[in-house]
Amino acid sequence: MSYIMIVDDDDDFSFATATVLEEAGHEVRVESNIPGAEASLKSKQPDLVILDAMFPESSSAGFELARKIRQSDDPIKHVPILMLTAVNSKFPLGFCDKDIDDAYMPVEDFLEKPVDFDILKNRVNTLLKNRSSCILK
Amino acid sequence: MHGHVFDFSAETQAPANDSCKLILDNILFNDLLIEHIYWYCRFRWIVIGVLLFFGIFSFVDDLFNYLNMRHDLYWPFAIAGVAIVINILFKWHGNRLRLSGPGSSLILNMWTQILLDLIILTIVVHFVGSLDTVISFAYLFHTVLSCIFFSRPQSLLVITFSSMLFISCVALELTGIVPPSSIYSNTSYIHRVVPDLQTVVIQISMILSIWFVVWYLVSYISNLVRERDYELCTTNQRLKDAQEEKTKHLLRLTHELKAPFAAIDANIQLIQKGHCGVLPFKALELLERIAARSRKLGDVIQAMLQLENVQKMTSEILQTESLDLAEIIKWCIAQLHPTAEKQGVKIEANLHSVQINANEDCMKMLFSNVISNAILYSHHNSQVTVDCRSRPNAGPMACVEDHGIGILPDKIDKIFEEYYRTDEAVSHNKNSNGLGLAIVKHVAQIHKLSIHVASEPNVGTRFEILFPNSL
Repeated sequence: MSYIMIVDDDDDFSFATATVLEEAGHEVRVESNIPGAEASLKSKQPDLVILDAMFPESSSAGFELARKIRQSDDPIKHVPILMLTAVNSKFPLGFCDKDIDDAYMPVEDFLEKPVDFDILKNRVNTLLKNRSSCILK
Repeated sequence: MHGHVFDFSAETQAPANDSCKLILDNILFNDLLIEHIYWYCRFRWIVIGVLLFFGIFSFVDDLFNYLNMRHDLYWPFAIAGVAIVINILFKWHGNRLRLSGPGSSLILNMWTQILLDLIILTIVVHFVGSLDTVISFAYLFHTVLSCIFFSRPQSLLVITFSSMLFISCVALELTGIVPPSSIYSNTSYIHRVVPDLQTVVIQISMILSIWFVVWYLVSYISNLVRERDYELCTTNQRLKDAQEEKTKHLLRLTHELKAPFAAIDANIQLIQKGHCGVLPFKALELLERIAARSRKLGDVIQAMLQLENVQKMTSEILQTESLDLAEIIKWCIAQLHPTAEKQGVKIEANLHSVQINANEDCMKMLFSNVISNAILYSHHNSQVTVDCRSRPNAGPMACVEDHGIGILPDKIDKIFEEYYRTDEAVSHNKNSNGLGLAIVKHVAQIHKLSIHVASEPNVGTRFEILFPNSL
């Protein structure tokens, strides 16, 4: 069982995602805003973060949180991040250049909403497996 | 494919946004300052050339005697020598500043050049004849240039300094501190017949009046042009800001519209996949209808977003890479396989590996839309053929051909318009949104592709996508 944190301002979507992941045997915590997510990350380190890109306060708040995680000094900097977004994040509309730069983007994987939950479960398993093998090494 | 043909070529391109390089008030951007420094150095080489040319010709005694001019002049060589040294030093200093110089050093470099130039010019004026010739009007070169490059107060400073130097030169000559000089061999001035003070004052006043009138007119016109440039620059900036605001608004709007469908879809999946218990068959059937409708609305919003994205792109900002066209098309076919199965359409692919230089996402968008259209407008149990290959002495090409409803001749030239759908297309497939080929058009434009469409009603349609040779 892994501890997964979902950071998404859409309660309906995060509820459904949490339900699916919990039934898959994971412990899930849902945070609907960035400050709450930052506090939770400090209190308990997740094995995986599922992060939305856009939040009401900023179109790229998800990217900013991902960068903050990667730039921190804690072991949290190595936590895999799966980014979810309702818009195609590869295109420059509304995002800054760094947000869509493949070399700079500090996330392991991307999924575009709406998400097929079978695909999501596969991606989650792959990321958790990669993390486990990294820790063993 | 025979029948009616429509060619779409990427002839028109939105120009790239030019970066604003204008002088705003007194502020010169560093690159503009560097440009001015180099320009002054280039201009000085011309002056040095003229001085050397004049000095050499002064040794042709017959010519200068004929012109009633003094010959065997050495001062042009001496001044040219000093100017050469100064020019080399300023160019070297400019090169250093170009790499890592602060703006203040650039301004200092240029002002030092101007001041030294004016001093050198005053020496030239003295030797040529300060009141004996019209050489004093050479100061106007710097006056005019300073009016163009600098603000009015700065150009006023230049002309004031020029006036002071000129008056000092004449004063030194009249008082005998510096012996008067002239290029003319037979002049009263050279023979120290000093004109009376009133005449000199009137002459200097007239010269300076002309200078200041020229300064006033040129600086006034330059100021007007500069203000117009400033207005253009700010208007351009406002337009860019408005466009940015519009696209941000669209992004937010798209997110706000699409996110609820993602949530609906997620919760429908919960029910469909049995996370909430077993549902009767009828309820599942209704749920599938809701899911399909939700997905369609989500797709329309996605297409709107894609269209906005490609409309915002230009060839200049497009990030391209070397891609295998066959791999791109294979990916698109794999994505569209479920759609083809559902429509009962077989996809026959004949793909030869060929390299293109393009944006991967754009290419996937283009071929997904073209192949998806071929599938959706095909007759049941028919075949869609997709091929790509290189062409001799031309860029690669890709063809997508269907055996479907085709396009009527009078409608074929409208198919790339946004939201345009023929009646036949609507009755054959209700799910399309009319944005697919508009996206294809914009992707083709920014990649400078040509698209050749040939169609016959109830026979089929063939799309040829032609890449330019350089890609």
